[in-house]
Amino acid sequence: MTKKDKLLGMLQKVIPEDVNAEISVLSQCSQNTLVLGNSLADGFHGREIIVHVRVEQSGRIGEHIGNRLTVQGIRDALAKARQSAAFGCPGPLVLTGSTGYRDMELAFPATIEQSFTDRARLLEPIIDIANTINVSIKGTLDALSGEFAIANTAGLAAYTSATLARLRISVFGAEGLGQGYGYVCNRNAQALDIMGTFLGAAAKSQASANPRPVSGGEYTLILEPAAVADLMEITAQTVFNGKAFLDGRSPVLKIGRRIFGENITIWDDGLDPKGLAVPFDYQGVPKQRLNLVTRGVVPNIALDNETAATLNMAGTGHASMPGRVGPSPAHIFLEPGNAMLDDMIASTRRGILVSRLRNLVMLDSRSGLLTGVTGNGTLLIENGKLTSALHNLRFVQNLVQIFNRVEMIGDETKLFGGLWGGTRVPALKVHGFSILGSNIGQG
Amino acid sequence: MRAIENTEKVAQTESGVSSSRTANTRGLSARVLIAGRWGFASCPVGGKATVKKLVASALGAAEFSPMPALPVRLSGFIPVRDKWESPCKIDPFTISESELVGMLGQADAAMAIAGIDGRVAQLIFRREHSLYFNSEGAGLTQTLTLSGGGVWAWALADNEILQRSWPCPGGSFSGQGYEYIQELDLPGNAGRIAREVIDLKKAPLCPDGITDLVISGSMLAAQLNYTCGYRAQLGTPGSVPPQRAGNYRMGSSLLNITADATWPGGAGSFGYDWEGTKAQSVDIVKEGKFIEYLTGREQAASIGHDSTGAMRSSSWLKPPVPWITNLVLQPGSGNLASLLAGIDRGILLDTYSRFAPGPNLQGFVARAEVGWLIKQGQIQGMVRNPVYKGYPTAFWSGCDAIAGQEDRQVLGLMDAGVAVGHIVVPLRIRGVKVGASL
Repeated sequence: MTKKDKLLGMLQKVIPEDVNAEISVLSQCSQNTLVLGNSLADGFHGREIIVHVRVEQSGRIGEHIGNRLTVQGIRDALAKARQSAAFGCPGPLVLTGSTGYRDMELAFPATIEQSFTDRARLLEPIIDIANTINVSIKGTLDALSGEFAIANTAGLAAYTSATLARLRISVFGAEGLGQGYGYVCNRNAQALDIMGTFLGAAAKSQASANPRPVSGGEYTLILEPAAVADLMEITAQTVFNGKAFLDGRSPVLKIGRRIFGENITIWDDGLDPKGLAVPFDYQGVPKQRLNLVTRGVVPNIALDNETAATLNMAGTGHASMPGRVGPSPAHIFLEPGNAMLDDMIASTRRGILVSRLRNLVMLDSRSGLLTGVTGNGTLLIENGKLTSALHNLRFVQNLVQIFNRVEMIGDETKLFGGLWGGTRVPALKVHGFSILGSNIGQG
Repeated sequence: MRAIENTEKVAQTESGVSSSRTANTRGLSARVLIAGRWGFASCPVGGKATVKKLVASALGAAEFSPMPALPVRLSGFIPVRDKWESPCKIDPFTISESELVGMLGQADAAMAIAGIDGRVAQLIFRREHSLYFNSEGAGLTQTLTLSGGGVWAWALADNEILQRSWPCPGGSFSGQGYEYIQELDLPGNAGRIAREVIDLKKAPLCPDGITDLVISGSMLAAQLNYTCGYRAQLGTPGSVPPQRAGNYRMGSSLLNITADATWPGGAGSFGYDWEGTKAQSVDIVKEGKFIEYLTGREQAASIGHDSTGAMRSSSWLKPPVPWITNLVLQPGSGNLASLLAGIDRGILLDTYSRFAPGPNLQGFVARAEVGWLIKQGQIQGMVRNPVYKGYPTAFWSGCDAIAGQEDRQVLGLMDAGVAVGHIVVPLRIRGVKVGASL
C-alpha cells in the first residue's frame, strides 16, 4: 500500500455520513544543519503533523486542529470539531467537489534520504574556502519533506507529497563589516549549486566592506531578486489577499482597476514547474494560473471557498494553511523584462544597489505604507558604477508607489520559497524611493 | 527531553458573526549535547518506538563530522524534581460556550455604531501541560494557563485604516485564568473604542517635528520589548555586546528594568525554563546601565555567568533560545498628570499599531493607533497616524520622568508565538522625531 493510499484510506474511514465535513492532514519533516562562524554547529530534525477538521452541524461550522495521525486520533478531532460547531460561524461549509488534479512528481529521494553527514560533506568545501579567504558563513542547509492529504463529504480525495532542499547563507567579510546573501533552492537536493551560491555571497561581502553612512532623501534603488522576493512576500499577504480585500485592508479597492505601473505583470501559477508547484490548495481546489496584475491592472484577487462564496465568485485555489489569515497567492511570478543587472547599474547616475529588504512591516495595509531596512550588502551607485558600500538603510515607502516607479525590469529571474510555494522574480530598478538614512546610531 | 500537550480555544465575534475553534496537540522534543554540538529533534507524541526514534534523530543531528571548532559549554545546574502551575482562579476551559459568546456578543453590539466598517471581539485560552527530564536528574511537571482577549474596531478612510483597540491590537494575555478576562471588561470598553474611531475620522494628521512624548500602555510595552528586552537576549543579533554588562548605557539614569519570570500571573511567567532552570527575577537595566543578560546555560557559560533561566520556545517543534519573560519597568514618582504637566507641546501615545525594529536592533519605526495632543500640560485632542522613529539608546536617554506605581498597567503581548508580559507605568521622553510622514 502506498503512503497515499494509507493516508487517504485513514481519512475516508473517518469521514462522517451524517454531516458535511472536511478533514485534511499536513505532515512535514525538516532537517536543518546550521553553520555558524565557519563551523558546523547545531542540527535540527523536526516532524510536524496538523490534522485539521471542519464540520457543519445544525447550520454552524465547527473547527478543530489536532496532531494525532491515527484513525482514533482523527475521530477524536472530528468529535471536538462537532462540539465546537454549537457556537461556530453560520454555514454553509463550502466544500470542494471531486475534481481532477494534476499528479505531480514533487518529492525527490535525494532530498528525503540526505543525512546530516551528507550535508556536512556538502558544506565542507565552502567552509574551507571561507577560512582561506577570511570570510565567515552563517546560515542553514535544509532538507524539507512533506505530505498533504484532504478528503471531504463532497467526494474529494486528494494527496500530494513534496521535498525541498535549500541553502540560505550570509557571508561576512573580515570584522563583519561587509555582507553578502546567498540563496538557492530546488526540490532535488542534488541540483543545489552550493559553491556558486557561496561564491556570489562572498563576492558581495567583499564589495560591501567598510560601509559608510548616507543621508536621507529620494534615491533610485536597484533591487536584486532576493530583495524583490522579500517585497513580493508582503505584497501577496496584503495586496492580493482575498480577506484583506473584503475587509478593505488592501490597497486594491476595486477589481479591474489599475494600481501599478503598466510595465508590471504578476501572476500566480501553482502548476508552473519553474516555480515550486503543487497541484491543489489547502481546501483541495486544483491549482491554475491566476493573473493578479496585468499591465498594472488587478483583474483578480486570491480567494478560498469562503471568500469566493461571499463575493459570489468562483474560487481561485488559494486557501492558506490553518492559522494563516485569509487566502493569499503562494506561487508568484513577476514578468521579467529585458534589462541586464549591469545595464541597470550602468544607467544609474546616483542610486543604491540593494541585496535584501529586511524587517518589512506594513504600517498601513490599505494605503500600502511600508517600512523596512536594506540588508546583506548595500552599495552606492554613482555615474553608473558601484563606488562604495553603505550601512543598512531605513526606508518608509508606499508599496503601490514602488510598483508605479519601476523604470527597468531584469531579464533573469530567480526562485525563492518553501516546501509548498515560492516566488520567481527578476531585479527591479525603482526611482523615487524614500530613504530615511543609514540605520545606524548609538545603539 | 520534553513532552507537551497544548490545548487551545478561540472564540470570536467579527462584525456580528460568531465563530469558535479548538486545538489540541501533543509533542515530544529531545535535545542532546555531544562533543560540544547540540542536536535537537521533535515529533508528535507516540509510544516507545517513537521515543527511541526521536532520541536517535537528536543524536544523528549532533553526531557528524567534523566536530565544531568552538564546542558548546554549559553553566552549572542544580537539578530539581518539582511541580508548578500558573495561578488560575477560574478555569477558562470550564466557562460555557454560551457565556463566552454572550459576552463577546455584548462587546460586539457596543461597537456596532454608524461609521464603523469592521469590528472584532476575541478570546483566546491556552493550557500547556509539560513534562521535562534531563540526564542531570531534573524532573519537572508544569501547567501553564494563558487567558487573553481584546476588542478592536476600524473605519476605512480614503488612504488609511483608522483602528482603535482595547487593551491592544490582537488582545492582551495573562498567565492566569478567566479572572483576567473579567478584569479586562471587554463589553465595558468596546463602545468607547468605537466612538474613538469615529472621532479619529475628524482628527487632523499628526504634525511633523521634534516633540516630547508621554508613552504608556501597549505602545510602551512594544517599545520596551523591542528596544530593551530583545537587546538583553544574549545571542539575538543586536543584543548588547558580550562583556559589556555593567558599562553599556541603555538610556536615562531613571530607567530601571527587571525581567521577572516569577511575576504572579504574568503572561511570561513559569516555574522553570526550558532547560529546567528555576524562574528568576533579573535586573537587566539599573539606573540606565545594562547589567545582566537573559540567558540559558550555553549563553551564560560564554560570559562566565550562571543561567538566568530565560530559555523558552514557541512550540515543542523548535529548540529553546533566550527569550524575554515579563519586562517590569520599575515605577518612579509622580503620576500621569505630572508627566503631562511638564510638557508645553507634545503627544501622548498609548496603543501601538505597528513596531518595526531594524536588523541588529539598530533603529526603529513605530506607529500608534492615535496620538493625543498635549498643550501646556493638557490633553487637547486626537491626531491621526502618529509615527515616530529613533535609535534605542538615544531614545531612552531622552526619558526624564517615570510615573509611580498608581498608574501601573499589566499587559501581555504575543511575541512570535511566545507570550511576554509587560508591567509598565507611563513615562516621558523628550525630543523625538514624530509625524504622519517621516
